[in-house]
Amino acid sequence: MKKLSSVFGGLSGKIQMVFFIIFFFAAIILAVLVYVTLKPDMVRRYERHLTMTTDLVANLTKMHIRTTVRNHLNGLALNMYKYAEYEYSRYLRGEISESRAYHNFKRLMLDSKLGKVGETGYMAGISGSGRAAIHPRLPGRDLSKYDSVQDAIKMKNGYLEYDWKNPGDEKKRKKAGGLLYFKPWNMLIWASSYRDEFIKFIDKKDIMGIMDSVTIGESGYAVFINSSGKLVRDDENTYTASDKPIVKDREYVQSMIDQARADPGKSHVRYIPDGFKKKDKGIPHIAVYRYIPDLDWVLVSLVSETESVKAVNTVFYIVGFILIIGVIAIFIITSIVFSRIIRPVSQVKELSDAVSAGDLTKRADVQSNDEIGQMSLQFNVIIDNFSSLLKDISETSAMLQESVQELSASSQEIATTSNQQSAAVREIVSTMEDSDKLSKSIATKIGEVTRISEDTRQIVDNGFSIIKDSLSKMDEIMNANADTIQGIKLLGEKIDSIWDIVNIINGIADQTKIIAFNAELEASAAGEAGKNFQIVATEIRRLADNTVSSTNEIRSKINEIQHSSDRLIITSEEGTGKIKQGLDLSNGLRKQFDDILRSSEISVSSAEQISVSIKQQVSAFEQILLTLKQISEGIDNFVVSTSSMTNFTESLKNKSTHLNSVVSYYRTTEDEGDANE
Amino acid sequence: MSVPDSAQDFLVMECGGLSFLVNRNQFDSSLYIQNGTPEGEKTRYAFDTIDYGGKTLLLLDFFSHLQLLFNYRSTESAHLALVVSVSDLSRKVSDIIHSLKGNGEISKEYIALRVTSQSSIEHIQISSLRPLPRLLREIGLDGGILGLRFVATHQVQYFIDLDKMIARMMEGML
Amino acid sequence: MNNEDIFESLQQNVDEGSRGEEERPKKIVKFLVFLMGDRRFTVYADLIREIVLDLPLFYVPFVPSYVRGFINRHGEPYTVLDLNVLFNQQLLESSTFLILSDTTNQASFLISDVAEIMKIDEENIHMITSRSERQQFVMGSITDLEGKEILILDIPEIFKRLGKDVGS
Repeated sequence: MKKLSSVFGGLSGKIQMVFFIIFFFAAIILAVLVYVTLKPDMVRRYERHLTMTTDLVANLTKMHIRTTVRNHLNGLALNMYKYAEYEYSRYLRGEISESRAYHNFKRLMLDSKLGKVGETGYMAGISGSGRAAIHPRLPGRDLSKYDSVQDAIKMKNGYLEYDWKNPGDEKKRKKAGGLLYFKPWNMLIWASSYRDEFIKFIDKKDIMGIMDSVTIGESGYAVFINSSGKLVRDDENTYTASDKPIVKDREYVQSMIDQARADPGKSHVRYIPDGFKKKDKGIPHIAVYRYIPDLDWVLVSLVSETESVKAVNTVFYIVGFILIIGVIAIFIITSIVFSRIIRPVSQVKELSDAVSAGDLTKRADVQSNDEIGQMSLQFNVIIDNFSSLLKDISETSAMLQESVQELSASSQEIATTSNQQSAAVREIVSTMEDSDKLSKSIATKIGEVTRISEDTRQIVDNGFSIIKDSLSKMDEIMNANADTIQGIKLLGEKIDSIWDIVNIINGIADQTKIIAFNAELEASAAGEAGKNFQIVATEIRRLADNTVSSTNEIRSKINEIQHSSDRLIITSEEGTGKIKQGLDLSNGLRKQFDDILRSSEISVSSAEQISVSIKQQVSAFEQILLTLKQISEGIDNFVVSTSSMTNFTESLKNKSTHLNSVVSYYRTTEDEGDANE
Repeated sequence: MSVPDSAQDFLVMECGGLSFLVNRNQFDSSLYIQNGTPEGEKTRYAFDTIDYGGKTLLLLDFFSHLQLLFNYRSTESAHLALVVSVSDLSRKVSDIIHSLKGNGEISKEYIALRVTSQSSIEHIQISSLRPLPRLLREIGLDGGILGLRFVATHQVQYFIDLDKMIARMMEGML
Repeated sequence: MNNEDIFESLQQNVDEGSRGEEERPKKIVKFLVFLMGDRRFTVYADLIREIVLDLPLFYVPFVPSYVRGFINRHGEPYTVLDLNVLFNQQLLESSTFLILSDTTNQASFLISDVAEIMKIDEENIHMITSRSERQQFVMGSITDLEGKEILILDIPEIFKRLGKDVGS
């Protein structure tokens, strides 16, 4: 573990640091990205949510208003319808005539109370062709040109909203009408009124209820602001705007109202510094507001900005948390992983430490097949190779040392020899110089050559005949020699046969000896009388001794003869060889003599040629002398170079010793002692 | 001593380069053994026997005995059997023979000696016989060598006494 | 010295010589020197009758190892004793026999070869007297011309030994 931690500080620590840094930056970048992308997104979501909510509430409000008005008008229309039904039914029953029924109905419809709708609204009956059958203001008028009337005819039953300008009115106002078609009289019962008159019939509680049910996020809410900028609150059946200073002293509120009024068809977004509740003072909010024309209110939906970005913050915290967890996880994981990875690496490090300390006996324990494992393998191979290389080097260096020793010795020998040679050559040179003088003197004597050449001829002639004689004599000698050899061989054979005789004589000698002894014994035994016989015995003895010595002599002589004859044969055979050589030599001589004879027939001019050639020889001699001097110099140089070679071999020896010591630093097998010790 | 000028019949046995003389009156007769009782073959008895005229005679291997004594070798296969009367033999020998255990079939009268078939009867002058040199005389006599006879320079005949020899043999048998 | 003086001294030598001979009757003893293997022994010459060569040896059983058998000398058997067996426990490969002159015993010695017959002054014969010098079958010694000692065989002692061995 100790080693691991030391390595931790190194490689894995670095890698871990790298991982941390990467992770850290990645986390930060992520956080930043998240923030940058998420926040607006979140904000927009909230905006959309707010907008949707506002639109929804606005629509709901509109619908509620519409429905309320409709119901009211339709209710009125229904009442009138029922009345019409009643009157018609009376007719049908025969109680009254149809015109009477119609008249009753008309009178009812035009009643100032019953036929009143709202404040200025009224009931009317429109015929199927669009004529105002029953109308308080425009009876009998043809209203079919009006779109609204056409729509109503088509619709027959339902609710209608339309713009209408009464004569005398300044502008068109929105009107609403509830319709019911009474078929018997082909009459549309029309209850119409100005829409805004019915606004007051709207139960603002319901509208407030809609709003109250709106929740936006956690802290978001919706409020109504009236045209004077006051919050509309539900204060115990009081649906009036209350004086709320919160709203009042915000100047932006007024601009909001104005903007909403100016563009009533959609919702508007604005970031406001405060919320509308007391607690929201100072907290920025997102506001989405829309004008509700029917109520002349502005619907505002609010949510705090912090909430909108709450999610983003949450993400931030999560990211932070992940970062911390990640850091810890990275630490743990990398520790585990690296301890696995580093182990072989640290092993390799150990190995390399051992190698640099000179211990080549260790090898890595390769367990994995990954890059590190392969590296360890390679390392092992390298050490093996190195080890064997060292062995080789060691052997080679040992051999080298030997060779160097030998070289050194022999170079010294060479130096010695060269010195000797040099001395010898110098001697030769001096001798040559003497000889040179001599040859020069010979050259001067060349004048005698002519005379000599003349004499030579004579001599050659003599020599020639001598050669002939000697050649024939040689032949004789050869033949005689051959005979001699033959004779000797025969002699040898005879000698062999002599041996048999010698052996016989030997036997006789022995016997004679015994006879002599016996004779002497007899003589002794015979006493006085044997004295004479003693003499005989002595003689016999002497004879025996002689015989013995004679035979010994004969034996040795025959031995000698045998040896001599053997030697003779050998010598003769050698002699034959030599004679043959002599023959060849003589033949060669004859040839030479022939040449001499020819060359002896030379004129003085030839002699002059000889003179020239001799002079050439003299100069050649001088050349030789020169060459010898050069050789002498050369040898001197050689001596110098061998001495330098001796120095070289010395340095080589030192180098090889050094190499040896370097190599021996490394221990390649277990049983080598520690080279460092 | 009476003049040794008389002649006597002797059995001359030649084997292994040596010759032996036996006084003719030492044995009764002889018969030729032709693969009779092979040497070494065990019979009913612990010794060899031979049939002779209806009798079973003890056969002593004198042939091998002489070889052992005189240190020579012979590879003859055919042999002679000398029939010797027990009564002619010394007391000692006859006692031994009589004491031999057998089935009673073994003859106590005669015994047979196996000898070489290279045998012949010769009439020899007593004067041509010599005793052993003085120094060896007694010991030779004990052993059954009575004397010798030189025939040519390189040959000698040993004059032996069957009785003594048989006694020696039988001592070895017991 | 002048001739007269020389002549005088010559005469003197001769006279002295014969005087010496008369005064002292010197006894010359003949010895036969022979070889057994490569050792030389000697016996009194008058104890030897004859020397014979190349006779066949006939074997005799029942006898001690140094009795090789007998030979045929002129039709008579002679016991052959191999002294090499007695001295060196080795059989001698030879066929030279010394026939002893003792006719009763009829014995001979097997030897390698006869060397010579020496005439020795009685004075120069060294007989063994003291116990310390005793050697088996040796009665004394003589010296040859080179000064080497040659042992004289004690033949009676040999025969005594033989007698014991053959039980006579």
